[in-house]
Amino acid sequence: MDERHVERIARAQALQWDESPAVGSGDGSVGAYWPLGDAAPGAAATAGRADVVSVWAEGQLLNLALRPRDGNESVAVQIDLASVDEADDDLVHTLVFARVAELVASDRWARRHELAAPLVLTL
Amino acid sequence: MSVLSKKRGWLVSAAAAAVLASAPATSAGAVSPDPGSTGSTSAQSVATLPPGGTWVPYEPDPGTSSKVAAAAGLVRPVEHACPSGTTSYPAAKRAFNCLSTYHDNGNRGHSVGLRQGRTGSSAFGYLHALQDHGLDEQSIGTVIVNNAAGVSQGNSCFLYGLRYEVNDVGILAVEVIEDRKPSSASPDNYKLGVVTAYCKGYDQCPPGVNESLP
Repeated sequence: MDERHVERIARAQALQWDESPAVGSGDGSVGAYWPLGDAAPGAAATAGRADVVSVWAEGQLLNLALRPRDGNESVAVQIDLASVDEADDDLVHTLVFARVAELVASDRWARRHELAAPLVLTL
Repeated sequence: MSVLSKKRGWLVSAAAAAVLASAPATSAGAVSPDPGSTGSTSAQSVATLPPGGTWVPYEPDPGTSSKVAAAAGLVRPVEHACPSGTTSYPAAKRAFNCLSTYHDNGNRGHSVGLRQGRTGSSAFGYLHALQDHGLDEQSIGTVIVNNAAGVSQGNSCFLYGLRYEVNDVGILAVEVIEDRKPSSASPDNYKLGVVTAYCKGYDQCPPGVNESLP
């Protein structure tokens, strides 16, 4: 996927997230819907979720800044679109969303405080 | 039922994620902690799903508590046929072949399509869930049919989930994300369907998860 296409994806992705309605768990965040264990009251709305703060292109990398709802500092995520030959922008948007949701639900997300560098996801 | 769904131990893709060593500058900056936030509640890892637990739907029938729904046991998923003309695509579009559909709300609600999908680049669908995350088709179906409805995630995606509780403590969750928007790359105009399914907190679901779901 060429760089100009990645830029278009980034702009559209940012717009999509901005326009995401406050639905489901009561906001426009992404990630796991329900916490595990005996979460304290109020935790359900914050645990395992993150807000997408910004989306931008950098060459063939799609960058996202995610802000965890649990109070931790923001996490930078890069999705490498270099090998993606998918012509369908809508499908790319959907897959980016799904990868971020998987990330937030993953053990890598739980260990994010150990990571000093952005996570790189393949689409 | 697709023959594919019964095969286990396939090649596990390394496409899920990798950690990058270098840290380029980003526009993220330091973001102030949410003052109303809570501590981490990530799941503790289990090597194998322990016995004696119950699966609890995220979204039980309205008016029914999760406890009541869990006590009633899980409904077995019924595989429904794919819409006409959504199978047997040529090789270039094979990933969009519909394998089956499952109806939420106890096999009688909204229809969720499961396409063959692919792993690796632009992974989605059944093969992504199976190879990258170790979930069988039947497990995906069980998650869908045992929720009254999907939880909207924005971006046309909806989330279905079951969490496994032992002594009222949740120790694992299985989640399915469905996209209800068609893909223009698809040969048909039906919803894209299942984009991914995974065990929360794991790249690969621990042993015992598929076997514990009806």
